[in-house]
Amino acid sequence: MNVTVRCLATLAGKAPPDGRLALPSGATAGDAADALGLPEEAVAVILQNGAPADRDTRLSPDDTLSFIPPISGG
Amino acid sequence: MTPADIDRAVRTAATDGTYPDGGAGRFLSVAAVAALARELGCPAREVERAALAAAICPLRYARNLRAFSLEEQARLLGATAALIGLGGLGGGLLENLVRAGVGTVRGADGDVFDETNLNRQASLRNSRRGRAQGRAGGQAGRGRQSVGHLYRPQRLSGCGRHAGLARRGGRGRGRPGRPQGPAGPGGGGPDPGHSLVTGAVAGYTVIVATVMPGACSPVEMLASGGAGPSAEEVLGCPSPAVMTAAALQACEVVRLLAGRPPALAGKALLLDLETMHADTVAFS
Repeated sequence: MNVTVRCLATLAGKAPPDGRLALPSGATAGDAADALGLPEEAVAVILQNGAPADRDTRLSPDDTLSFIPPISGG
Repeated sequence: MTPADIDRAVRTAATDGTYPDGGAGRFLSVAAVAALARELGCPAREVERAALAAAICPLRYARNLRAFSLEEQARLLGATAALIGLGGLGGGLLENLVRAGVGTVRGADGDVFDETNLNRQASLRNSRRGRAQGRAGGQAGRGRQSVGHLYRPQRLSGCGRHAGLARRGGRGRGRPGRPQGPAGPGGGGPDPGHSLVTGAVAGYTVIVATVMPGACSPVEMLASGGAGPSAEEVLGCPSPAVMTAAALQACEVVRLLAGRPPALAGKALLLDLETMHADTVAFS
Protein backbone atom coordinates (compact mmCIF):
# COMPACT_ATOMS: atom_id res chain seq x y z
CA MET A 1 0.00 0.00 0.00
CA ASN A 2 1.05 3.63 -0.47
CA VAL A 3 0.84 6.39 2.10
CA THR A 4 1.61 10.10 1.95
CA VAL A 5 4.36 11.26 4.26
CA ARG A 6 5.18 14.70 5.68
CA CYS A 7 8.33 15.20 7.67
CA LEU A 8 8.51 18.58 9.40
CA ALA A 9 11.39 20.77 10.57
CA THR A 10 14.61 18.80 11.11
CA LEU A 11 13.02 15.65 9.71
CA ALA A 12 12.25 17.23 6.32
CA GLY A 13 15.31 15.71 4.68
CA LYS A 14 13.98 12.23 5.39
CA ALA A 15 10.78 12.67 3.39
CA PRO A 16 10.53 10.80 0.09
CA PRO A 17 11.00 13.17 -2.88
CA ASP A 18 7.43 12.66 -4.07
CA GLY A 19 5.97 12.44 -0.56
CA ARG A 20 4.77 8.88 -1.14
CA LEU A 21 5.97 5.75 0.64
CA ALA A 22 5.22 2.14 -0.31
CA LEU A 23 4.68 -0.18 2.66
CA PRO A 24 3.50 -3.76 3.04
CA SER A 25 -0.13 -4.28 3.97
CA GLY A 26 -0.63 -4.12 7.73
CA ALA A 27 2.35 -1.83 8.29
CA THR A 28 2.42 0.51 11.26
CA ALA A 29 3.52 4.13 11.68
CA GLY A 30 6.69 2.77 13.28
CA ASP A 31 7.36 0.69 10.17
CA ALA A 32 7.02 3.86 8.08
CA ALA A 33 9.40 5.75 10.38
CA ASP A 34 11.93 2.92 10.14
CA ALA A 35 11.62 2.84 6.35
CA LEU A 36 12.34 6.57 6.25
CA GLY A 37 15.32 6.23 8.60
CA LEU A 38 13.72 8.34 11.34
CA PRO A 39 15.26 7.56 14.72
CA GLU A 40 12.58 6.95 17.33
CA GLU A 41 14.03 9.57 19.65
CA ALA A 42 13.93 12.21 16.91
CA VAL A 43 10.13 12.09 16.59
CA ALA A 44 7.95 13.83 19.19
CA VAL A 45 4.59 13.51 17.49
CA ILE A 46 3.14 11.27 14.80
CA LEU A 47 -0.10 12.25 13.11
CA GLN A 48 -2.25 9.90 11.06
CA ASN A 49 -4.59 11.92 8.87
CA GLY A 50 -4.19 14.83 11.27
CA ALA A 51 -4.95 12.83 14.42
CA PRO A 52 -2.42 11.83 17.07
CA ALA A 53 -0.96 8.37 16.51
CA ASP A 54 1.97 6.32 17.76
CA ARG A 55 4.45 3.85 16.34
CA ASP A 56 2.00 0.96 16.80
CA THR A 57 -0.81 2.63 14.87
CA ARG A 58 -1.88 0.43 11.97
CA LEU A 59 -1.92 2.23 8.63
CA SER A 60 -4.44 2.10 5.81
CA PRO A 61 -3.84 2.76 2.11
CA ASP A 62 -3.63 6.46 1.25
CA ASP A 63 -3.22 7.55 4.86
CA THR A 64 -1.29 10.77 5.42
CA LEU A 65 1.42 10.46 8.05
CA SER A 66 3.16 13.45 9.63
CA PHE A 67 6.35 13.14 11.66
CA ILE A 68 7.23 16.10 13.89
CA PRO A 69 10.35 16.54 16.01
CA PRO A 70 10.38 18.26 19.40
CA ILE A 71 9.87 21.98 18.80
CA SER A 72 10.12 24.74 21.39
CA GLY A 73 11.88 27.72 19.83
CA GLY A 74 10.84 31.29 19.47
CA MET B 1 -14.08 61.85 40.30
CA THR B 2 -17.09 59.59 39.92
CA PRO B 3 -17.94 57.35 36.97
CA ALA B 4 -20.76 59.78 36.19
CA ASP B 5 -18.22 62.62 35.95
CA ILE B 6 -16.06 60.61 33.54
CA ASP B 7 -19.10 59.65 31.48
CA ARG B 8 -20.19 63.28 31.22
CA ALA B 9 -16.68 64.37 30.24
CA VAL B 10 -16.22 61.80 27.47
CA ARG B 11 -19.65 62.60 26.02
CA THR B 12 -18.73 66.26 25.90
CA ALA B 13 -15.32 65.64 24.31
CA ALA B 14 -16.59 63.16 21.70
CA THR B 15 -17.03 64.24 18.09
CA ASP B 16 -19.18 62.97 15.26
CA GLY B 17 -17.47 61.03 12.51
CA THR B 18 -17.66 57.97 10.31
CA TYR B 19 -16.24 54.48 10.60
CA PRO B 20 -14.07 53.23 7.73
CA ASP B 21 -17.14 51.49 6.28
CA GLY B 22 -19.01 54.82 6.14
CA GLY B 23 -21.22 54.18 9.14
CA ALA B 24 -21.85 57.11 11.47
CA GLY B 25 -20.33 57.10 14.94
CA ARG B 26 -19.09 59.14 17.86
CA PHE B 27 -15.35 59.19 18.41
CA LEU B 28 -12.71 60.25 20.92
CA SER B 29 -9.26 61.20 19.62
CA VAL B 30 -6.01 60.09 21.20
CA ALA B 31 -5.33 63.67 22.23
CA ALA B 32 -8.75 63.97 23.83
CA VAL B 33 -8.23 60.75 25.79
CA ALA B 34 -4.88 62.02 27.07
CA ALA B 35 -6.31 65.41 27.99
CA LEU B 36 -9.27 63.89 29.85
CA ALA B 37 -6.99 61.46 31.71
CA ARG B 38 -4.89 64.42 32.90
CA GLU B 39 -7.91 66.53 33.75
CA LEU B 40 -9.78 63.76 35.54
CA GLY B 41 -6.71 62.25 37.19
CA CYS B 42 -7.40 58.71 36.04
CA PRO B 43 -5.68 56.19 33.75
CA ALA B 44 -6.26 56.72 30.04
CA ARG B 45 -7.78 53.27 29.76
CA GLU B 46 -10.49 54.30 32.21
CA VAL B 47 -11.36 57.20 29.92
CA GLU B 48 -11.47 54.82 26.98
CA ARG B 49 -13.61 52.31 28.87
CA ALA B 50 -16.07 55.05 29.80
CA ALA B 51 -16.20 56.12 26.17
CA LEU B 52 -16.88 52.59 24.96
CA ALA B 53 -19.60 52.17 27.57
CA ALA B 54 -21.24 55.28 26.10
CA ALA B 55 -20.98 53.84 22.54
CA ILE B 56 -18.16 56.28 21.78
CA CYS B 57 -15.24 54.72 19.95
CA PRO B 58 -11.72 55.87 20.82
CA LEU B 59 -10.28 56.58 17.38
CA ARG B 60 -7.35 54.26 17.92
CA TYR B 61 -9.82 51.34 17.89
CA ALA B 62 -11.90 52.44 14.91
CA ARG B 63 -10.11 49.97 12.66
CA ASN B 64 -10.62 47.13 15.16
CA LEU B 65 -14.33 47.39 14.51
CA ARG B 66 -16.17 45.32 13.32
CA ALA B 67 -13.59 42.70 14.28
CA PHE B 68 -14.65 43.52 17.83
CA SER B 69 -17.80 45.14 19.07
CA LEU B 70 -17.61 48.15 21.38
CA GLU B 71 -18.51 45.83 24.27
CA GLU B 72 -15.69 43.43 23.37
CA GLN B 73 -13.25 46.30 22.97
CA ALA B 74 -14.20 47.45 26.47
CA ARG B 75 -13.61 43.90 27.75
CA LEU B 76 -10.12 43.94 26.22
CA LEU B 77 -9.32 47.19 28.00
CA GLY B 78 -10.37 45.63 31.29
CA ALA B 79 -8.40 42.44 30.68
CA THR B 80 -4.97 41.33 31.86
CA ALA B 81 -2.61 39.06 29.93
CA ALA B 82 0.50 37.43 31.37
CA LEU B 83 3.46 36.82 29.08
CA ILE B 84 6.30 34.50 30.00
CA GLY B 85 9.16 35.51 27.75
CA LEU B 86 9.44 38.77 25.82
CA GLY B 87 11.77 37.65 23.05
CA GLY B 88 10.84 36.79 19.48
CA LEU B 89 7.41 35.29 20.12
CA GLY B 90 6.66 37.27 23.26
CA GLY B 91 7.71 40.59 21.71
CA GLY B 92 5.49 39.99 18.67
CA LEU B 93 2.63 38.90 20.88
CA LEU B 94 3.07 41.97 23.10
CA GLU B 95 2.95 44.23 20.04
CA ASN B 96 -0.33 42.64 18.92
CA LEU B 97 -1.93 42.75 22.36
CA VAL B 98 -0.98 46.39 22.85
CA ARG B 99 -2.39 47.40 19.48
CA ALA B 100 -5.55 45.35 20.06
CA GLY B 101 -6.19 47.35 23.23
CA VAL B 102 -5.56 44.80 25.98
CA GLY B 103 -5.59 46.93 29.11
CA THR B 104 -2.87 45.30 31.22
CA VAL B 105 0.04 43.13 30.17
CA ARG B 106 2.29 41.55 32.76
CA GLY B 107 5.52 40.18 31.36
CA ALA B 108 8.70 38.52 32.58
CA ASP B 109 11.96 37.67 30.85
CA GLY B 110 15.36 36.91 32.31
CA ASP B 111 17.34 37.22 29.08
CA VAL B 112 19.24 40.10 27.57
CA PHE B 113 19.31 40.94 23.88
CA ASP B 114 22.24 39.84 21.76
CA GLU B 115 22.99 40.23 18.09
CA THR B 116 21.49 36.86 17.17
CA ASN B 117 18.08 38.19 18.28
CA LEU B 118 18.14 40.96 15.65
CA ASN B 119 16.61 38.66 13.02
CA ARG B 120 13.23 38.45 14.74
CA GLN B 121 12.63 40.47 17.88
CA ALA B 122 10.09 43.24 17.40
CA SER B 123 11.39 45.62 20.06
CA LEU B 124 15.08 45.15 19.31
CA ARG B 125 17.48 47.66 17.78
CA ASN B 126 21.19 47.01 17.67
CA SER B 127 21.70 49.76 20.25
CA ARG B 128 19.77 47.64 22.75
CA ARG B 129 22.20 44.73 22.74
CA GLY B 130 22.91 43.59 26.26
CA ARG B 131 19.80 45.19 27.70
CA ALA B 132 17.05 43.24 29.37
CA GLN B 133 14.43 41.97 26.96
CA GLY B 134 11.69 42.75 29.43
CA ARG B 135 12.72 46.39 29.65
CA ALA B 136 12.40 46.85 25.90
CA GLY B 137 9.00 45.17 26.08
CA GLY B 138 8.03 47.63 28.78
CA GLN B 139 9.02 50.52 26.56
CA ALA B 140 6.88 49.10 23.76
CA GLY B 141 3.93 48.92 26.12
CA ARG B 142 4.40 52.43 27.40
CA GLY B 143 4.31 53.70 23.84
CA ARG B 144 0.61 52.97 24.03
CA GLN B 145 -0.81 55.24 26.68
CA SER B 146 -3.75 53.09 27.70
CA VAL B 147 -1.77 49.96 28.47
CA GLY B 148 -0.64 49.21 31.97
CA HIS B 149 2.57 47.21 31.65
CA LEU B 150 4.70 45.59 34.30
CA TYR B 151 7.76 43.52 33.53
CA ARG B 152 10.15 41.51 35.65
CA PRO B 153 13.72 41.10 34.43
CA GLN B 154 13.96 37.58 35.77
CA ARG B 155 13.44 33.96 34.98
CA LEU B 156 10.41 32.53 36.69
CA SER B 157 9.97 29.13 38.23
CA GLY B 158 6.61 27.45 37.83
CA CYS B 159 5.84 28.81 41.29
CA GLY B 160 6.82 32.34 40.32
CA ARG B 161 4.66 32.21 37.25
CA HIS B 162 1.64 31.49 39.39
CA ALA B 163 2.43 34.03 42.03
CA GLY B 164 3.58 36.90 39.89
CA LEU B 165 1.75 36.57 36.64
CA ALA B 166 -0.84 33.92 36.03
CA ARG B 167 -2.78 34.49 39.23
CA ARG B 168 -3.37 38.07 38.26
CA GLY B 169 -3.74 37.67 34.60
CA GLY B 170 -5.14 35.75 31.74
CA ARG B 171 -2.96 34.35 29.06
CA GLY B 172 0.69 34.37 28.22
CA ARG B 173 3.35 32.39 26.56
CA GLY B 174 6.42 30.30 27.31
CA ARG B 175 10.10 30.74 26.94
CA PRO B 176 12.36 29.74 24.07
CA GLY B 177 14.06 26.48 24.77
CA ARG B 178 11.14 25.01 26.60
CA PRO B 179 7.43 24.72 25.95
CA GLN B 180 6.46 28.12 24.73
CA GLY B 181 3.49 30.22 25.36
CA PRO B 182 1.44 31.42 28.16
CA ALA B 183 2.25 30.70 31.68
CA GLY B 184 1.86 27.45 33.43
CA PRO B 185 3.66 25.21 35.83
CA GLY B 186 6.29 22.77 34.75
CA GLY B 187 7.20 24.65 31.63
CA GLY B 188 4.00 25.05 29.70
CA GLY B 189 1.50 22.78 31.39
CA PRO B 190 -2.01 23.90 32.16
CA ASP B 191 -2.43 26.44 34.91
CA PRO B 192 -5.47 25.72 37.05
CA GLY B 193 -7.82 28.63 36.57
CA HIS B 194 -6.12 30.22 33.58
CA SER B 195 -6.15 29.34 29.94
CA LEU B 196 -2.82 29.05 28.18
CA VAL B 197 -2.03 29.96 24.60
CA THR B 198 1.31 28.58 23.59
CA GLY B 199 3.48 28.72 20.50
CA ALA B 200 6.75 27.32 19.25
CA VAL B 201 8.88 27.64 16.13
CA ALA B 202 11.67 25.66 14.50
CA GLY B 203 12.69 26.83 11.06
CA TYR B 204 9.51 27.27 9.07
CA THR B 205 7.47 24.93 11.26
CA VAL B 206 5.02 26.68 13.60
CA ILE B 207 2.91 25.26 16.41
CA VAL B 208 0.19 27.12 18.30
CA ALA B 209 -2.05 25.49 20.88
CA THR B 210 -4.58 26.49 23.53
CA VAL B 211 -4.87 24.73 26.85
CA MET B 212 -7.98 25.45 28.86
CA PRO B 213 -7.94 25.29 32.67
CA GLY B 214 -7.62 21.71 33.83
CA ALA B 215 -7.33 20.34 30.30
CA CYS B 216 -4.55 18.19 28.99
CA SER B 217 -1.74 19.99 27.24
CA PRO B 218 -0.29 19.03 23.88
CA VAL B 219 2.63 21.28 24.72
CA GLU B 220 4.57 18.77 26.77
CA MET B 221 4.30 16.25 23.95
CA LEU B 222 5.21 18.70 21.20
CA ALA B 223 8.17 20.16 23.02
CA SER B 224 9.64 17.12 24.71
CA GLY B 225 11.67 14.11 23.76
CA GLY B 226 14.60 13.68 21.48
CA ALA B 227 18.31 13.85 22.01
CA GLY B 228 21.04 16.20 20.80
CA PRO B 229 20.46 19.75 19.58
CA SER B 230 16.86 20.92 19.51
CA ALA B 231 15.10 21.55 16.21
CA GLU B 232 15.29 25.32 16.60
CA GLU B 233 19.00 25.13 17.32
CA VAL B 234 19.46 23.35 14.01
CA LEU B 235 16.96 25.30 11.92
CA GLY B 236 16.85 28.64 13.69
CA CYS B 237 13.85 30.89 14.29
CA PRO B 238 13.35 33.00 11.15
CA SER B 239 11.26 36.13 11.48
CA PRO B 240 8.35 35.12 9.20
CA ALA B 241 7.75 31.98 11.24
CA VAL B 242 8.12 33.78 14.57
CA MET B 243 5.78 36.59 13.50
CA THR B 244 3.25 34.07 12.18
CA ALA B 245 3.26 32.20 15.49
CA ALA B 246 2.96 35.43 17.46
CA ALA B 247 0.06 36.65 15.31
CA LEU B 248 -1.78 33.34 15.64
CA GLN B 249 -1.27 33.37 19.39
CA ALA B 250 -2.50 36.94 19.54
CA CYS B 251 -5.67 36.04 17.61
CA GLU B 252 -6.46 33.36 20.15
CA VAL B 253 -5.51 35.41 23.23
CA VAL B 254 -7.60 38.38 22.09
CA ARG B 255 -10.55 36.10 21.37
CA LEU B 256 -10.34 34.74 24.91
CA LEU B 257 -9.90 38.14 26.52
CA ALA B 258 -12.84 39.53 24.54
CA GLY B 259 -15.02 36.78 25.97
CA ARG B 260 -15.27 34.63 22.89
CA PRO B 261 -14.79 30.86 22.94
CA PRO B 262 -11.30 29.69 21.99
CA ALA B 263 -10.76 28.41 18.47
CA LEU B 264 -8.01 25.99 19.49
CA ALA B 265 -9.26 24.57 22.80
CA GLY B 266 -7.71 21.12 23.13
CA LYS B 267 -6.17 21.47 19.72
CA ALA B 268 -2.87 22.44 18.17
CA LEU B 269 -2.46 24.21 14.85
CA LEU B 270 0.60 22.94 12.99
CA LEU B 271 1.87 24.98 10.06
CA ASP B 272 4.56 24.03 7.60
CA LEU B 273 5.39 27.38 6.02
CA GLU B 274 7.72 25.69 3.52
CA THR B 275 4.76 23.98 1.87
CA MET B 276 2.00 26.23 3.30
CA HIS B 277 0.32 23.14 4.71
CA ALA B 278 -1.76 23.34 7.90
CA ASP B 279 -3.12 20.64 10.23
CA THR B 280 -5.37 21.18 13.22
CA VAL B 281 -4.81 18.35 15.65
CA ALA B 282 -7.13 17.47 18.52
CA PHE B 283 -5.54 16.16 21.69
CA SER B 284 -7.60 14.35 24.28
